[in-house]
Amino acid sequence: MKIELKKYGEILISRQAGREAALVVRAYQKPLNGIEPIEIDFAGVKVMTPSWLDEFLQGIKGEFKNKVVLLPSTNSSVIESIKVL
Amino acid sequence: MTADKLIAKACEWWLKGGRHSALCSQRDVFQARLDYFLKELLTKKIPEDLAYLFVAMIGELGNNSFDHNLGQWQDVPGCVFDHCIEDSVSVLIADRGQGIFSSLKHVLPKLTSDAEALKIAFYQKISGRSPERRGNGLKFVNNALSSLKKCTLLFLSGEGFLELGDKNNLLCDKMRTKLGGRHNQGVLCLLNYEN
Repeated sequence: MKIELKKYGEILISRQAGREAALVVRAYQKPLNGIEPIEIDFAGVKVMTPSWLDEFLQGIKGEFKNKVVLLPSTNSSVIESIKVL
Repeated sequence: MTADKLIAKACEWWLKGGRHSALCSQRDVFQARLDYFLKELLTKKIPEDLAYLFVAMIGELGNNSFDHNLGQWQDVPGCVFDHCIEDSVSVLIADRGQGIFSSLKHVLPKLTSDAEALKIAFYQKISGRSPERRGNGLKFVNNALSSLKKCTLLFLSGEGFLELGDKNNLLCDKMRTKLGGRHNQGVLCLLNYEN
């Protein structure tokens, strides 16, 4: 299952927004089974902070036991955010 | 507005409170102004990837004001988010909140000074909002500054201050001179990029 973060905005900054996005995924986008990896796609995201990403990933990992895979990105704010998590 | 005026106005507000034309009294206002700021950076031909990282840093700094000070403001709720784009890009974030020392003191009772609190905030993964798992925002800012050239952050809270990124920044010197040793327990920071 691929989650395209651009659907939640191009500028992803606050913890509150990250938590809200995770809740939406939990409600409307569920993996087919417990094995299918969950791919996080950063394409189209312009600004990312570790606060948003941390809150989002905590929300996803708290709901699904599937492996979470962060797809590669060339965006510096995404790269630096992943580094500090 | 020139960078000098920007600094003078923000320092005055940080020290005394009152009104400020760039005050974001709520997080949504800050977010909206940040979106607009990104568009302005791109209009002024700042390289895209740099603009995105710059806005991410400001996003972390500004959101911290709200995350750590809700219900803890000294008087004026919210943060000042002001900027000017001339030869360099200068951004000021200021709040009259509880400050770094007071926030971290809850989880580190042996903390003794503002300076020590700032070092911990920027170099260790710890947050005043225990038991929540937080504390990576300022580390992110520190790392991002390390990856950029010609970018400086002057961060003050209480009697403590840290200058990160490129050193010997003229505007940072001007801001410290302007303050002349006066301080407030809240946060005041200047992020400057020499274009």
